[in-house]
Amino acid sequence: MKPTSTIIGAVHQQPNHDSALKHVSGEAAYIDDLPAPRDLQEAVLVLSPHPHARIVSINYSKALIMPGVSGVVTADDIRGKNDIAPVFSGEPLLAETLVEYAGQPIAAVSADTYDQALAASKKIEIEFEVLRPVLSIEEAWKKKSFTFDPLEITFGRPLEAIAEAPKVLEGDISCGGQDHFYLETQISMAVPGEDQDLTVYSSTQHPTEAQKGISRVLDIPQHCVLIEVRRMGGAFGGKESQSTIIAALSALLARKVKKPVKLRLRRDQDMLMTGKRHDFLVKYQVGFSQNGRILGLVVDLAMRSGNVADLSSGVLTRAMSHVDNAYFLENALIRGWPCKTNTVSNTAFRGFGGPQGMLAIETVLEHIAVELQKDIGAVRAANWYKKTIRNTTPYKQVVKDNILPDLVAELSQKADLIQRQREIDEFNN
Amino acid sequence: MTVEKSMMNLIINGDNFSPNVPPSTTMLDYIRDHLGLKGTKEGCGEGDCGACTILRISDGKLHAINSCLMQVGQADGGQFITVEGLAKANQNILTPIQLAIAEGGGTQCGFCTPGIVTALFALIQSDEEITEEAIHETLAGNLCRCTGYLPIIEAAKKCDRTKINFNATAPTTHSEKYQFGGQTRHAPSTLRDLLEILSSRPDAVLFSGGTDIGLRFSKGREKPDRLIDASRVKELNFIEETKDSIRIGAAVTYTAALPEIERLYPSFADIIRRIGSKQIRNLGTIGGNIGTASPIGDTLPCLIALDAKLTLFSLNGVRELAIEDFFKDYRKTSLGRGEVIHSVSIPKLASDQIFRSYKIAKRYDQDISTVIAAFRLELTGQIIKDLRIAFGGMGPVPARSPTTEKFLENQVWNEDSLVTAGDKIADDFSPISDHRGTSEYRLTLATNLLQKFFWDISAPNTNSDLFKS
Repeated sequence: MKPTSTIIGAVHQQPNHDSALKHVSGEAAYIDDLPAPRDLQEAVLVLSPHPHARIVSINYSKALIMPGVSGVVTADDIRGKNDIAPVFSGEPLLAETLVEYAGQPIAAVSADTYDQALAASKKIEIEFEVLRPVLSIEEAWKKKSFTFDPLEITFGRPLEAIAEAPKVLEGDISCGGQDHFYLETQISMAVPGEDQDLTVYSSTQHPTEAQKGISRVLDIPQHCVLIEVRRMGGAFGGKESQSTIIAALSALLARKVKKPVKLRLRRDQDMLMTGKRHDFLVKYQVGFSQNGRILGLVVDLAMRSGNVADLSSGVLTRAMSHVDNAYFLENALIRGWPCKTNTVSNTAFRGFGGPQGMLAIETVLEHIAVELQKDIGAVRAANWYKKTIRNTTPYKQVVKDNILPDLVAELSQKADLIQRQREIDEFNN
Repeated sequence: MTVEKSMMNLIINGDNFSPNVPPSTTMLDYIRDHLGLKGTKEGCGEGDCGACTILRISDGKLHAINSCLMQVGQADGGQFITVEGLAKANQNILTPIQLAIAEGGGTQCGFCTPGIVTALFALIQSDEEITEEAIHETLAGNLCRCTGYLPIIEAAKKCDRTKINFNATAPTTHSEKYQFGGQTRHAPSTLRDLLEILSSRPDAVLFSGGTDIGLRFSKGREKPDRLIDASRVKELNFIEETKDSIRIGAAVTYTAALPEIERLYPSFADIIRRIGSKQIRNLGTIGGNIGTASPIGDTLPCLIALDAKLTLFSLNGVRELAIEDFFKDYRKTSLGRGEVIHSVSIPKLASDQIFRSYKIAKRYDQDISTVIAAFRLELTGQIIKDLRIAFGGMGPVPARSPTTEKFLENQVWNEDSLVTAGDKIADDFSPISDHRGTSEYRLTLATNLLQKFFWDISAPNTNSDLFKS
């Protein structure tokens, strides 16, 4: 069949990225590359050095008399609500009387230049009363310290199925987090306009969220806030809700000093104060048959939510609903524990909990394979969703158009899997 | 003494500039904020991500450097190309590597792209053969978070070689003393001048490549009153070979030293290729690595195991010192006031001597070492006649392991001897625990590296990729 070459963007074509030529020439403008508006101020944040502490006092009078300084903002300057929570509520933009992670923003200072703002930021005096932090998932879990109510999915009769199963295993696995390391650090430039208007150039994946956050913090209607996003220098989930913090801080300062304000986090501050992929601790108990079929499963997924919920409820739900991966779990109890720790609040990151959930079930299957001395491929195949029976997920969705068995068979044949496996076994023996 | 000018001069993308900025201003800030060339990006501000890569023209060749680490005072008198300058020199047509990356899906967010384009351009324009390995080595200093690199590597392979003329002019002279905004930068051309300035200004910040100290200006935003750039001193820029040794001037860059080290000590060259990235090696110097005296300075255990000697100069005269005696305590050396490292002399390997060095880090490229080990072995038959063992990352200074060396002297060269000797390493070192590894991990590494050395020598046919750390 002749390809239809006239369809633009058709599957068989590989059109260029629409900015590709500007990327390679260096002309593609990111926010820090835009022409500076008149009187542009640069901002620097003051972050908490403690993971858990009460703020006794903040004194920024010495910062205000530093060269070039136009203003300082703290939580006291927030006229609206000091809350930028994307899902729940009660997630402060700037710490008021309590800091809950090392790296939490407490104040922001603006000046004519970045170096001036940085020098002034070091003159802000904050007195703390240091409190004991909760730093591990285990400790928070044991203390039942959560950022929102734990979640649970029950399907079938898991406890009975495990009790009746011929074989039972227990185990746990932990997986670490990850920094997004978008090459362009978080940045926002807020330019005040007429009346209450603000134009905010934000490196964000979620302009609406930024608009909502700024409107809430400044107590101005959402229609007064225009969010402009031309492109981002990478985000990967790290600029879904976290970018609102940066956008709102630049807006708050711009409103106070009545000048345009740019807040570009340098890499160290970016890594300290913004959320990352959730690390998880997983515990499981599984009952299974002699051929490796899972009969009953209890999985506890404990995540490091951090100091507040942010997007953790979505991530946890996704992790829980990915525990089945490609396998029919006839009887399953899947629990999610959003552990509140005195660490930065974790956030969206490619996969959004999916990888952590899939890691859990794959670990269970590996464990079964080792116990039964069976090939992992065979154990997986014994548990696959089938086409007409054994095809309902723990959250009661029927799996349709299941091509998995055919796909794996075709791939195995094309990749000469059996022969390769034999060669590997021979090499290793 | 040459005439002191009070001006700095640069050629960037073919245009002349006389920057009026504090000399410790980074080139990145200068080209972005003062010249408005916004193609070059800041990703990390510490020479790790490569988004700020620009090209320096010297000896008619293009050298990629991190503009976030290079100060304008260092750049004075030099000629540079930024991403904007590539098409400009090519009749305003994008160069082949730019087109290949654009058309091959080599950009996604695009933020790392200008750095990748410039780094690869230096390779495409060079005489070096474009192998998979050469591409990887070129890109070791450029982080890309979106593409997974594959389309970029494919683009580099497919792209036509270029010989674009950048109208490299004769190097303009640099100003030996430049003052701006309360800051003074000296860049003496002779050793005599360097020593005189240093003895009258012992508080000045002395550096050569500035890839370590440069962080104080890029990230730290420090503006010290006085800087001394030693990289232009003629007497520190030489490589001299005799029958028995090779002597390398303190201001010789890793890149310039690499071919000689490759020829004489291939295993040492493998370590040097893992120092930072090409961008870092094009700026950083052998003398700087010694002078900064980091416990994990990558060349140091190698130089100690090779029994290198340092030549130190001051106005009071010259002295020679075994490099192992140079390191006194954490980042403290035996350099006296007003004294500088002139050169390092490394004995050549005798025909019966074997040298190996190993670097263990969390990543293969562009990473700080957890532990470095270096060994120089001399066998008589199967008996160990002489073995020098040096480690980095095992204590406050890079150092030999005298107990282990003594134990192995006159022992039979076999696995048993080396396994037993491994236990002695703990007698010489009490490593710290930090985010790169616990004390126990470091001791285990050191012990295992001693065994690895044995297998590396005695079973050379084993797939060496398995040993790649």
